[in-house]
Amino acid sequence: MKYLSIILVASFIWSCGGPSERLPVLGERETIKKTVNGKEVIDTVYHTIPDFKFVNQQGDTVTAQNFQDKIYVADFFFTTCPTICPVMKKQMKKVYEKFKGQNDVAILSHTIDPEHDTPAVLKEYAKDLGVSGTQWMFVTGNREKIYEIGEKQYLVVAGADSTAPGGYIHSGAFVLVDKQKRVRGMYNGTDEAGTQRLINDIERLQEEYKNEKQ
Amino acid sequence: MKISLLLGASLGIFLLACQGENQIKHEQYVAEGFSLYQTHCANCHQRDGKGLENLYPALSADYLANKAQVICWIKNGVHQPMRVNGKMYNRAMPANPDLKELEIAEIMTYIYATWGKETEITTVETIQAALEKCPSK
Repeated sequence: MKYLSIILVASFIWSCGGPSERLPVLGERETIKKTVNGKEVIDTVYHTIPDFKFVNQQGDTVTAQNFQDKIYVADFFFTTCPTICPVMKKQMKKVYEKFKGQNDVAILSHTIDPEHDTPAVLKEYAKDLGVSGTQWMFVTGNREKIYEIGEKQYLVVAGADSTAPGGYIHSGAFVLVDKQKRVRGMYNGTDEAGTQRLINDIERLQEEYKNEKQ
Repeated sequence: MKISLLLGASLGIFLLACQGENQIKHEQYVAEGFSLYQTHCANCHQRDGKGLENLYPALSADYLANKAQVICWIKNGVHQPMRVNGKMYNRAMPANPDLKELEIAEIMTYIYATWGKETEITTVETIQAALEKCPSK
């Protein structure tokens, strides 16, 4: 009986005090066999965001290198969008305010209308949104490359559609990417609940990295 | 039992009569206008009408000062910078060519009831008169 209560207390402590559940890794994965120290082991290879090259609101070239050692949130928008983008930007602004100045967190907003949204247009948009510096990057570049990275890598829809208001169709998702460039979460960027879940998950990721270092 | 039913019914009729035809119409316009506002306006001007930073202006008193102008903005969009609450805004507002006159009247009624504290509807006639005089695009 005494032992039983010890076990009960122990399991209670374990379930409460144990490490919180890790965020899942999204996207396709494959297992590969490789040889480590003469032994064959099975390793899981996750979907990761490959390198890219865009230009930000300051006119500077931006690559995956700029996001090294950073947790970042990616999304797609265009500055003249009359539908969901203003709502998404209002929500993303909350994420920005929450993590402002923390250099392990960044935001990467891609325009899907690069012909109109030049670096100068993006710079003014950022300023009018109340964003300074480059913790939140607004990037433009080759149209096909932007659509491709949106659909194939961040797993969201982005593209031209003449029937949509404003001429483009795109997803309202915020995509959370970790320091290993793995997609760790997708959030509805048009509502408060999705945004709060994202803020919460960024903090969970920060915690994961903190625990790994120890 | 019968008496209380009768009392209830007459009370209902009394209240309905008190509320007045105009007030009922105003409430209908506000209700329709609310849902049209959510669809056509709230993305930028936000549900609370406060706008978004320096990107989209709030529906403040100076924005709403000239009704005829607001009607033209809703229908034809805005393509030049404007000053609201002392700040310059220079992002174009898209036109809404598909909105019918009645729908614009309902949106106007909702906006002015909510942020202008008006209790009268904006009539379809007002919309027609204003649209005729809109500056050409």
